[in-house]
Amino acid sequence: MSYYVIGIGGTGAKCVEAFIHLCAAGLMPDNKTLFSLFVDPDGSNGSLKRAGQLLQNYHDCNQLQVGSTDLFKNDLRIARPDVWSPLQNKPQRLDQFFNYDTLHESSAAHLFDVLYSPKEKQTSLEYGFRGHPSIGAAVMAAAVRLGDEEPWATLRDQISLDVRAAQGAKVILFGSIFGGTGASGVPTIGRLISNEFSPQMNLDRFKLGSVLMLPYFSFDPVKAERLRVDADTFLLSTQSALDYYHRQDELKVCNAVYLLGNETLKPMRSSSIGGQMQENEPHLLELYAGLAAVHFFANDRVQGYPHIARELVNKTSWADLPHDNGFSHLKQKVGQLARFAFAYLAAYHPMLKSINDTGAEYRAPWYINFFKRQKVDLKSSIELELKHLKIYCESFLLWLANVEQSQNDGAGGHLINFNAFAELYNDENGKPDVRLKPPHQFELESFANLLLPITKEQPQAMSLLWERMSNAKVKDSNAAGTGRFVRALYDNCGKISQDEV
Amino acid sequence: MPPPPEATSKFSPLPDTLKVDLYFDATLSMQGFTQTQTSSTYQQAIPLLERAVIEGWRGGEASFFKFGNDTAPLTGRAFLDAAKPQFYSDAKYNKKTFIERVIDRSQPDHLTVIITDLFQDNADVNQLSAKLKDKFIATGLAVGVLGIRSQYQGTVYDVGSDNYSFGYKSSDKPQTGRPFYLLAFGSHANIAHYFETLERSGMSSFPERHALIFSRFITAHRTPFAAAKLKTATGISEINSTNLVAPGKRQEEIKAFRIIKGKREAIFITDWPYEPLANVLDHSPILEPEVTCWKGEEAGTRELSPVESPAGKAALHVDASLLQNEGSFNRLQFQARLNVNELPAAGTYGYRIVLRPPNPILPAWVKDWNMRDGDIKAWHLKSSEFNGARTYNLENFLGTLSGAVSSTSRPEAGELFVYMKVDR
Amino acid sequence: MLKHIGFMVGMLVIALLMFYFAVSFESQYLESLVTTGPDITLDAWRELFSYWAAIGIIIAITAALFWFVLGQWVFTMNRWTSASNKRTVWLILGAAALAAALPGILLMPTVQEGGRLAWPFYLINNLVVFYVSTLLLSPSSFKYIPRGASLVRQWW
Repeated sequence: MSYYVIGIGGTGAKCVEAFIHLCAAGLMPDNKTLFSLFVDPDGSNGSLKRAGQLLQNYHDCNQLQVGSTDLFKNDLRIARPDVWSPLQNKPQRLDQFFNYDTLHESSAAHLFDVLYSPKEKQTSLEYGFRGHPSIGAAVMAAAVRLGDEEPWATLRDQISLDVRAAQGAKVILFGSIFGGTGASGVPTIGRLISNEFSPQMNLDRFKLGSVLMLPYFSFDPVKAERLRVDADTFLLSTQSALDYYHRQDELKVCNAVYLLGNETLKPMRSSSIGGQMQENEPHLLELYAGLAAVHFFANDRVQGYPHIARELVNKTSWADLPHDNGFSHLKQKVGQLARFAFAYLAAYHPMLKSINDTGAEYRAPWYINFFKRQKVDLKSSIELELKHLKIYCESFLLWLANVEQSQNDGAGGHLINFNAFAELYNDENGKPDVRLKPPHQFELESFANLLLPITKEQPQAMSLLWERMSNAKVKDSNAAGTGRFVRALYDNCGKISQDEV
Repeated sequence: MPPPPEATSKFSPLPDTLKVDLYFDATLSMQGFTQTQTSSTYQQAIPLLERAVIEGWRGGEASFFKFGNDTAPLTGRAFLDAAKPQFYSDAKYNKKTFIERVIDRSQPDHLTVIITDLFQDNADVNQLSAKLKDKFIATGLAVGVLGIRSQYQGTVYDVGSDNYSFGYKSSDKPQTGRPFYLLAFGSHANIAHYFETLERSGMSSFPERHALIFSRFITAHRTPFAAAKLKTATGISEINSTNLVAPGKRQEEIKAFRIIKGKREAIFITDWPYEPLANVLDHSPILEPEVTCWKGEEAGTRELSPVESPAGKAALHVDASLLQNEGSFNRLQFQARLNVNELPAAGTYGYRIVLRPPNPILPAWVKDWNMRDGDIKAWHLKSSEFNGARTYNLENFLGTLSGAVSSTSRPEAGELFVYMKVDR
Repeated sequence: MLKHIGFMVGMLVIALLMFYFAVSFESQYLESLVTTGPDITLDAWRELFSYWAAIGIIIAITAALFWFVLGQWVFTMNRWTSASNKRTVWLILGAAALAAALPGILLMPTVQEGGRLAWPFYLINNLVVFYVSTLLLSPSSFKYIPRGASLVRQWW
């Protein structure tokens, strides 16, 4: 069985981001290989870039030989190219895309005129479909060729291999239905893929799922642009999209559909038509989207139409988050990865760097046990593996802080004690933002209490971890090199979690 | 090495009970002690003789006898008649003083006391000395002589080898008093205690008296060598004696030492308290050491086997002397010097060192109280010049006794043991 | 907790072994090298040697136990930089252990010959007790602070 995740549009990319963090935490049902692909006409989209970097970083960390453990357990194959744009090497205007000029007052031309306004026909699609799914649907339908171009060809071939070998394949699509790319891409790509593999669907060797994000965020309008995404129209767009899907039974091609939304729309910090400026911060609902994908991959069949909601209006707690093994398991795994990242950034990476720069390796018994005795070259490890790991840990903690912060207006977050490692500040536009503290400013006494609520103070938990790491042994013969150290730190961070629970 | 053997002679302690046999010389020469116009010292001494027995020993029993040419017991208070002149009128007893017969019948476990004027001719002296040596001195017992001057008025018979008789009357001057003697045989402790008790009982008021005890003992105490502090020690370290010697009964007389490699000579000096017995013969303070050496050899047992080592003996040089304070010896100073190179080999050496005084000296009063043959001849020509304050052959008799002691068992001022472990 | 108590007991065992075997051997060895002279017997000198050696060992093992208590219950490794000065602390305690030889050096009675041969033994005893104890049984977070510990302490 292989798992395929396709993130469509900026929201889809953020959902993939959340999903990848959940994979890193070991929440997938097994260690099958993941295949990832982004679909977005706006390749410079900030959220997309962030997600793409995360995938590459995850892939680098996955190379660590940590042995048989949950951390980075799923191998990741990133599509080449990792982002597919329907407009790649094609005209950037809708009229040019469909060679409107050559239609010469034909019926096709008139149909085109009825469907699209002159503004829609002539606006550059460089930064996406500007929240106009009608544009996106036409472009997507014309552009996606499963057999012709990469990465679709490889995707198709890989899925074919999986279904022929009877292992099966599961594909999940992430996207919003209130924007442009997602709203147009999810049903279109879903249909194309299901057409390709419908026989296998009938044999239960291929399953398709989609995670559709209903409105959960807003942003200020970009006044200078005439054709733009307008947050005020999200609800209307969503309503009409849902109505369309229902009437056209567009989603019948999916084995599972997950619809997620939030009562309040979280204002995003940046307002942009697209490009790098369109980098929206992570949101709690994307965590739900990731959990939806985990659920899809873990279950072959779901009976009925499950409905999930927060227990309390003003508060999201861990019990509100769904996982087949229970929220405690979810909380424990997220907590373990959070502690791992915290400890690595606050203590272990700085110590390794210090040893690399100045020696005095006796200060860290775990260094001697895992690096010196195992003849692992610290210098090269610092520049490669340990650096990749540092980047991942930073991105994971920042993602957690943002997820928590996304709840602090209105519903009130009660999941992550992010003040231990991050802080709020006002950006250049005066908008509140979250950033990681420098590691030496991390609240070390909160190490055992990175998840809320705090049940038991353990102010010396970092010290206890150090002690355990000093005696740690990794018996897994599959763990090697730097991976043994990473494995030991991860395992011992899990023990701290258990002490708390 | 095995511990040293027990001492062959030990100073016997005073018993709680004692039988004392007192023999009065009943010959005519003794009558003059009872014919003085005032009570003589002799007469005063007679009741003290019994009192001292009763006071000196809790279970003391005094038996009295009269002797001369024969011997007879004196029952009840009859011994008090010795203060009367009639006591000496019995011809059965008053002809000749046979002290040797008293010696023959004396019992070594009793204290025998003879009250006599001790006028002996040369033959008597030799015979008497021989008997005393054989029966008492050779068996570790002692002979004590307590001479007391007394007033006298009477005839002294059997003076000199020609058995002259002289009349004598002492004057008021104490030095004219005629001596009588208590000749005691028994253990040294009993004799000394009897003399001390007599002194306490009343004899301390007598004008002149002297005591001498002839025995192998000149000190009652064992040598406190182990407790003696070293004054100097060069090239040698004292160690616990149990390191070299198995524990035994003579631990207080033993010191042990260790000499490490590279030493050519080892010297130590020490001293310890020395308490001479009262009334023993005088002697020079320089003591003569008698050294015996054994080397411990492996014998396949836990203990080393001592093998006599003449070379070891030759390697040790000992000097010892007695130190005086207020006229009497009170400390014994000891120096040992070992020439390590003269030892045959490394190992453990044991030394037995006996310190003996050289030939004893009779005290001056003996000469003063002695009557010489030459004087007797002169007095025979002029009897008025007879000096009854002297005793015929006293010096000869006491000198012979002293010689008997020296020839049977020379007195010891100390016996000690030195063990040395020597590395080479 | 049992493990910590076991380590401390282990340190005490090292000190006891040192006293009963090494000091006994040293005392016996010195017997063949020392001449005490008149003021003290060789046995009494050896007893004093053993006494001051014991005092030194007690102080050295106290320093080692103090190091253990500090490392296990006082020092925390919440902050990675806390590890930086711990070798200095260890060296200071080691110096204190060595200094524990001073009472013996100063207070042993002067003897005729060879008395100073005791001094190196005092120093060696204290050094060995402190060093071996901390080398083998330092608390986990600081187990390689003693020099050479990383070569020796591989399995615990």
